Amino acid sequence: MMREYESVFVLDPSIEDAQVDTELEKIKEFLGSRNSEITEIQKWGRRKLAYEVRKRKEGVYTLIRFQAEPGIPAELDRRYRLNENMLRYLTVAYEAPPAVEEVAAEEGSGSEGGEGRGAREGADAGKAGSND
Amino acid sequence: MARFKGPRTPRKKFCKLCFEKVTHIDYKDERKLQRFLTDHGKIVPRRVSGACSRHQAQVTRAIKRARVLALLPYTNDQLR
Repeated sequence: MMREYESVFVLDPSIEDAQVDTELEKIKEFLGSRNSEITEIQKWGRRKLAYEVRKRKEGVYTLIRFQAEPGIPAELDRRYRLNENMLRYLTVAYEAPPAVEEVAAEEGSGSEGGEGRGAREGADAGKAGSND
Repeated sequence: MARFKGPRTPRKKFCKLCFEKVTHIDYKDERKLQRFLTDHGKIVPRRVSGACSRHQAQVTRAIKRARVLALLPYTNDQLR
């Protein structure tokens, strides 16, 4: 059964930008070879670290979301560990954020207050359902 | 004239996350999680934050994940 995972890795900031892309390519290639489908990639870029890691104060953050068989994240983490440029990495099961439903703008008069409340509660019930 | 104030009646705590109807806490959103850290980087205990058990557990898990990625500190010693 395929599951969705989310993995964030932090690369050493002293490497070149091109190298960052190569590392990402390598991971994409690996996931591709395991028949997993990449659903999202986010490059957060250089960010300050909350604490020093190997004397570095910043890191290059990248997020990758993918569908894969359950054994794959462990394999992925093993690869991360072997990579000297990795400062930090984390792979977790993806939890979809609740769908942000735009509550229809009911900016009416005060008399509609009761109705508006009811509508909002309905939307929240929908959220709770989609979260499970 | 100074009026005598009796023993303080503490205001009833409530879970702010329940109030805001938060259903999902993201470990990547370190700005929101910062609210649940003390100045020293410790997780604010439930007796202080007033969070319900479910939300406290979610917050704790998110903070611990964020710490792994150096998004949040384990400690903040510079303040000492």
